[in-house]
Amino acid sequence: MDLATGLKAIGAAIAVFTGVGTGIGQGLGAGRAFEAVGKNPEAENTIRTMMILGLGIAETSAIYGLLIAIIILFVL
Amino acid sequence: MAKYLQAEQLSIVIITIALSLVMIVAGKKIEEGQKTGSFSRFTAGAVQLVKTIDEMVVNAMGPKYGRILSAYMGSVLIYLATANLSGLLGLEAPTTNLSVTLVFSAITWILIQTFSIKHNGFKNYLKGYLEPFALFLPMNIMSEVATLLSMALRLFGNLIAGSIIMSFVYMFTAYLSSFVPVIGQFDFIGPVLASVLHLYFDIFSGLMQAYIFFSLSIIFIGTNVTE
Repeated sequence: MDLATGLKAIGAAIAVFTGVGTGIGQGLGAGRAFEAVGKNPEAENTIRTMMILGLGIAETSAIYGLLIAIIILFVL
Repeated sequence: MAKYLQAEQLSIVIITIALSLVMIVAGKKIEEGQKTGSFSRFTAGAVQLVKTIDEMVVNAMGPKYGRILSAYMGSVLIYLATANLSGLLGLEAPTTNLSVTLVFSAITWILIQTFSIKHNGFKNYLKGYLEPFALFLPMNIMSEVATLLSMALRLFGNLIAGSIIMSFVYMFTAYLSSFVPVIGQFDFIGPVLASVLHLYFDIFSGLMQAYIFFSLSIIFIGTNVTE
C-alpha cells in the first residue's frame, strides 16, 4: 500500500459523497408524492409513475459520483 | 474471448435474434387472430402493450409526430428492457457498454434536433439558441450537449454500478465462506444474499431505467414539437 493508492481511495470516497444530496432530494420527492396521494387517492397511478420518473432523474447525480469513483478506482 | 471482440457483442446478437423471433411469431399470431377473431393471452397482451405505448407517445408528442415515432420508441423500450434483464441469464448486458447507451442517446438526440427543425423551421431553430438573449448562446449549446451525455451516462452508470456491486458481493461472500473449515471452497453465503440484490439491481433498476430512458426521450422530443 503506497501513498497513491490511499489517496485514490480517499478520492473515490469523496466522489461517492454526492449520494447525500440525492438521498435528501429523493426523500423530499417521495414525501411530496405521498402527500399528493393522501389529497387525491384516485390519481394514485399517475402519481406513482411520475414519482418513479422524478426519482430516477434525481438519481443521476449520485450515479455520476459513483461512476467517477469507479473510474478513479479501476481506470486511473 | 478474442482481443477485438467485446463480450457485449455476443449478447447483442443473441438478444436481437431472440427479440426478432418473438416479434415475428407475435405478428403471425395476431394476423391469424384477426382472421378468426379469437386472441390468445399472449397476442392480446402484445396488442395491449403496443396500444399503451402508442397512447403514451401520442400523448407526449401530439398525434402528428407521435404516429411517426411511436414504433421506434416502442422498440427502444422493449429492447432496453430485454437488454437490462439479460444480465439475469448470465449474458453480459449490452447496456453495461458505454458505446451501446451512447448510440441510443445519440439517436434520441438527433431525433430531438430533426423534429425541432422540422416543426419550428430552421431559422426559428437557430433563433432558439439566442433565447432569452444573445449572451445565452454558449449555455444553450452546452445544455444541448449535456442532454446527449446525461442520457447515455444515466443508463450506463446505473447498469454498470449494479453489475460492479454484484461482483463485489460475490467476492465478499466468497471471502467470508472461505473461513468455514471443510466446505469453505464453495461460496454458500453468496446465493442467499445475492438473490435479493439481483431482484433490485437487475429487475427493478433495469426495468425502471428502460422506462426512464423511454419517457425522457418522448418528453424531450415532445417539448420541442408542441410549443
